[in-house]
Amino acid sequence: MTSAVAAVPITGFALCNGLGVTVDAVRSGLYEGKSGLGPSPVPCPFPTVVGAVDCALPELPAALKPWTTRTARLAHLLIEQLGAPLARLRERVRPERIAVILGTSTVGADVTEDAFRHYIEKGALPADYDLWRHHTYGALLHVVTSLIGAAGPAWVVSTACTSSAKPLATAQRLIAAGIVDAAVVGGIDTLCSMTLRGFFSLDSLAASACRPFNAKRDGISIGEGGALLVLERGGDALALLESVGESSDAYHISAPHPQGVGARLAMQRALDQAGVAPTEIDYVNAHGTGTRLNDSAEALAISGLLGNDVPVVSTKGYTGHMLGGAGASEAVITLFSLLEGFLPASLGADPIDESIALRIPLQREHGRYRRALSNSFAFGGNNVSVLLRAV
Amino acid sequence: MSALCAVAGVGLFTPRYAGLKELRAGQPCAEPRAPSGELLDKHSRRRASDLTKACADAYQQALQQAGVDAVSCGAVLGMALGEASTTIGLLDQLWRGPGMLSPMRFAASVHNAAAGVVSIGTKNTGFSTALGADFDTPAMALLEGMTFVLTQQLPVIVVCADEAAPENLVENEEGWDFLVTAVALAPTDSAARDLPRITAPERGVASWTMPDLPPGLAQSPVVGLLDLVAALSDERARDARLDRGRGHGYGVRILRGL
Repeated sequence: MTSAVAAVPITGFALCNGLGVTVDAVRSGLYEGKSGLGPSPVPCPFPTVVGAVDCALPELPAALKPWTTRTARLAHLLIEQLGAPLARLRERVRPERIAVILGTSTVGADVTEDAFRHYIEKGALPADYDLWRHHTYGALLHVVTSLIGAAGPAWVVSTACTSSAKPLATAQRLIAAGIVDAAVVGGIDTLCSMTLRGFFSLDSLAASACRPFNAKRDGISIGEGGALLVLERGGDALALLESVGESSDAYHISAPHPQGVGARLAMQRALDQAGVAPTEIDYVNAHGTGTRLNDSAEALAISGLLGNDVPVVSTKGYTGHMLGGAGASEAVITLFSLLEGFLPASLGADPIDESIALRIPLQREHGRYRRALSNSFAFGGNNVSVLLRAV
Repeated sequence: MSALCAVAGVGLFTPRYAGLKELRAGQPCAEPRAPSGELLDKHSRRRASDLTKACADAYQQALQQAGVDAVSCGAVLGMALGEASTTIGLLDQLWRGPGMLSPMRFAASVHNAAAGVVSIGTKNTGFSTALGADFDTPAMALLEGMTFVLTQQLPVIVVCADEAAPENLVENEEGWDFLVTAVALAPTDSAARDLPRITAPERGVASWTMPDLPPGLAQSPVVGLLDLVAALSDERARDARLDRGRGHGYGVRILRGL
């Protein structure tokens, strides 16, 4: 049995991050060119800024209270935003035909960090700590599937910074193969000590707000947050998930291929799968982390495949790098351009690195954007490029 | 469900048994074995965790048995916990030491570390992913692999792995042993006719599990893929359950002689 992978309607989306905790707030922040980066609420012994979600998160319902983590409560916040699309979905699709595919790199790391500190100081884990409710992927799945009312296949992709982009590809395949009719996809990461100190140890963390594509860029700013999207066969499309290209660099565990070979391959595969020519791409939301290596390699990949005229924006200057939550979040941010006809300024890019031969908007631009790619790249040389189309 | 994939190869690594035959016969090794990581390049092998090396070993067995192209086949890595020892090492550095982390250990702590180094070792620029779903990890990894095969018409190696239970994080329950199992899935159109076929995982379709499995392996969150591999080697088995009671009851049917 061969299943052609067709475009899938996107019937709803939600997101939250350091720029705002609703779709409207994030869109306004991007439109106005505001940064969501600020001091870190997680103590760290070096200077840095982060994109922290700054609001009182909703409590989980009583039956799910034992699964309470910051990640689970962020998921609850996103699911509350998706009320209307989820209600329509539940009317049209049986629960067992709805998949939940999430992505995260941290899941319950913040809770486990605290629990392990308790273990070291007191010789035992806290009495209320439970690995299967607070740390594992299944814990997050239990909360999300319960809140959504989905009973189809459910798993969490964890491929570092591509974690929440890959579920879009997975869902498209599940729908194409006839396994399910709909999927709720996306992902979430939360701030924790291990990621802040880990990227600091790699000399990849900026001391001040990250500056993707800037001549003086010096690393990433970490953010937290995430996004969820509803994908539904035959649904009333806000936009289309046209295709997703995936590739591996086969080069290095934590550094990108310097020529961007894997990144280009992911974009090429997205175009090939959809039967779209490079000239049909109107906009690229770059991975654009603000590290010297990533931005140079990605620039070579984009210019090599798409030329130098297509506008390329990194939005990490607004939100920070949400790591496992970035892919889905930036797919939603890319949808704003298709739905509302504006590109945010690439915050922090001025002055642009002269070696980067891309058209990087330093001011907000307006136009009609029909197709856009959203890139995500990760440790392990894992690359994803999501192709989205306006309807 | 009409979705079918051929199973073209299998792989297994567990420290106490040399292979499936010895495991089924209850004949443990005299000394625990260490994984070789032979598939990895020298640089990666030196730095890789035992879990990553064991994943590479099982991957290599399945790859060679299937005879598929190492450069283009897909890879799905399913782990309930993943690089737990590496992560606990980071937590130790965080709270017992000066609070600074090893950059190598941090990079190797990601859930897809093994998938990444295997792609480097095989120069594979294709699809790879890493996932987890607690005790449903084998079922969901198989489903991810099968939908890739069905939609892309390319073979994929599915590896399910977890280290022994991290005792300082699972204090109040029975632990489990280190276990890595792999299967090579291939499109039915291009597979040899005598290879067994499996259906896509569904809830409640199967009950077969390997009898007399040592308790340490039976408790592993990823034991379901071992049960499938054992069922494939047992002509009497017509199905395989992909968890042992702590998941959602997914299983697959096995079709032979099509």
